[in-house]
Amino acid sequence: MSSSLEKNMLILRSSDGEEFIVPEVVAVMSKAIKNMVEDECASNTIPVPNVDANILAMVIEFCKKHDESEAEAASDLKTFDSEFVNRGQEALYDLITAANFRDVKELLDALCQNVAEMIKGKSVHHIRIQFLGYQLFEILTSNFIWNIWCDRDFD
Amino acid sequence: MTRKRPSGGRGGGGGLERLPDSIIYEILEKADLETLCSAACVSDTIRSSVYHVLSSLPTLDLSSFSPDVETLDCILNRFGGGLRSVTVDCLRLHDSSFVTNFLGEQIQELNLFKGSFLSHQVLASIGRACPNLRVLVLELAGGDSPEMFKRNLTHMLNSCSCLESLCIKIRGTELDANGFQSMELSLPKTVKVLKLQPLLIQDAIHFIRELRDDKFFLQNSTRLSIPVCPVSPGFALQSLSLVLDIISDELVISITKSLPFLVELNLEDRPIEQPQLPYDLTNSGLQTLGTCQHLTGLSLVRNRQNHPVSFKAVNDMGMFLLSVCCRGLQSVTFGGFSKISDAGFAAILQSCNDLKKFEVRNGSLLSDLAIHDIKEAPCSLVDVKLWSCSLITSESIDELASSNDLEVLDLSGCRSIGDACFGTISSLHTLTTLNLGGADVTDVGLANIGRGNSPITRLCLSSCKRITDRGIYLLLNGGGTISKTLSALDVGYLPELSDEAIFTIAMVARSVTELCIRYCFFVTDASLKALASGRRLEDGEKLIRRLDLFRCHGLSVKALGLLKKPLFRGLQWLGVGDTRLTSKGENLLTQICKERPWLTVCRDGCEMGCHDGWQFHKFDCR
Repeated sequence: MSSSLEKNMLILRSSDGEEFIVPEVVAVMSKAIKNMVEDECASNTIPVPNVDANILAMVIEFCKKHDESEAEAASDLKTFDSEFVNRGQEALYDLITAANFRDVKELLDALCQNVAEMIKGKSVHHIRIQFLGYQLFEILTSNFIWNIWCDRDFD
Repeated sequence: MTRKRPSGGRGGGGGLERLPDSIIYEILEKADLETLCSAACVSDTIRSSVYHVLSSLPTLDLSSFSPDVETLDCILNRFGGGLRSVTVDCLRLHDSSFVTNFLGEQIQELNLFKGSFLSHQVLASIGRACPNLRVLVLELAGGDSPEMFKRNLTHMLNSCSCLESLCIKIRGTELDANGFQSMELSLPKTVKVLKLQPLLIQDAIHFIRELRDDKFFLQNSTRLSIPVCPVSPGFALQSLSLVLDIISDELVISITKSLPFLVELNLEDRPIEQPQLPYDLTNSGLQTLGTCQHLTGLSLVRNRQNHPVSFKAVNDMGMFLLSVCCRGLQSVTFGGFSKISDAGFAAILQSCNDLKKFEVRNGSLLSDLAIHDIKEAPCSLVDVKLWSCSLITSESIDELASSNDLEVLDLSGCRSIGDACFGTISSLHTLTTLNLGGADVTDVGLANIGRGNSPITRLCLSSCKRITDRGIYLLLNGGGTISKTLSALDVGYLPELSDEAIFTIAMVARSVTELCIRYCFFVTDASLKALASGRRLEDGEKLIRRLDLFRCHGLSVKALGLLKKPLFRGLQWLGVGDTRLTSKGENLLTQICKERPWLTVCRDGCEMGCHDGWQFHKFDCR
């Protein structure tokens, strides 16, 4: 397989064994991979543990778009980003973990921004249900100011 | 603190909590303060992350509500040495100890608004605590002696030697205005932006002449043989805003001579009698503004609050001269130019091609003719305010709408504006602020806005006396954008309005956070009940933060029960002056205030949030 591989292409192998052929410029948007390539400790196939094929495909899609569209208008890229990160919570957290682990800064930024937007203006109750997946019945005792804006009320 | 983090990994539950701390920080760093406070209540883990994020936050803006001393101390305690910029609404603060207790050398920007009860010693405290200050904005009420003010001011100026922007407003003392005398002695030369209020004209002239560094200028011009090149004066002042007793030619001439590099000039005067020549502004005074070749912002206002005065010595010729010599203007405000007609205003509109903001107050001769043909010239107006220009009709609005960028349209007091303009207004897709106070608007016009696509967030219909409940219904149920975007609604002084309208607002306009229904006599307890019942914050709903009920005589003292927890969750400001709530329920009201420490109750009839009127507060808002 390595013989048929074009120059400047890398193979990434996901945790469940699937392989992706990716241009080097795209792959090195991950700082972790970049370091491996620069240190020349990378063989043709780079294992990407902890990231399954599904998520890896998404990360690659994101990097490809960002690589291609360097010349494109920044606003187009923003639209792409906001659509890209608009996913279900499970996928979102997996993506964040992957982006963090592989050190893909642009993706991590876009994802964190998205989560921040999702929390914005929501009630405590709502954040608990949506983001923790459980309802905490105990009220956090606090003589502090957290509830200036929600007025010490846990709906 | 016990940490209850789930063990991590997939399916471990806990969603957000299974992410590593560094990621949670990163997410929380992108959230605003309000969201952070909600997030802190979600769980112990997230709370400790919020602590961490707060301690490194560079900016703290608390201008949206009026904290008391305890709350402010608590908040400031949570912030660490990373804090650079602090903004506080001081309406309920009685001393400035927080400045010395919590702020330090790292602070570069400090904005203290509405300091009704702050002593002028706050200046000296700021000087001591924050020597590296770059930006200082301070609003104080008058009261202390001018000598004491001067001493504190000098102390502050001597300590803060790298100030770049200084804005000090003393409200409530219009006549005793000599506090700023001889402040030039210690004004740091780094100051680029200077706003002072109030100032006597002779002090202002003296002070501005002193700013001109004559010696420096002469030395350089004799040494250099090339005479043309303007030598930079000692002061790099770029923006000057003054509120004075009188604006005269002498003042304007001394400003243009001393500060030829000025980019922005705002002057307002509040004479107690009609100024007489030669102590008044004339055409030639306006002409000298041409010397300031970099001028992009100009505001000249004669305020009528002390006496019905106007700029009687300026006519259209003055505007012609100004329009010829200041073509680079991007923002203009003219207030009280009673002799300027359409020709004068048209000259400005047509010569200044970069004009973004056009504001005229009390332009009694300004009519549609001035704005006619605006389509011919390239027009990029963003902000248009025409206050009390009673000749302006809907035709002007059609012309103004030719600007695709219009965001603010303020027509308060333009009583000849009628329903005809709403077809145009509702198609403005950038419009966010619309003020129609006192216009001749009916339900038909509102129906038009209700169907439109303008993303209006602030709408004022105050004193539009023909509006009825039906109009409000049509406005909010027309299927247009406004029902989703509206956040501030003023329906005060509407005699026809009843509970029906308030029900509609409570039901439909669920993103409204500021609501003014002052002087709506037919509004009863039922309205308050509809507004009180909680919103759930999901699907973009917002809590009502500010509510003005001044002179709602239809409310009974029983309505006070609706102000208790848990109703009106998150309420931050309440205007209840001159209602049964204050006349008969004072005890209960005091109790409610104790229960809700973050609620400011104004009994004085101030505008929303006490933005104007705070300087006259006689008693505590608690």
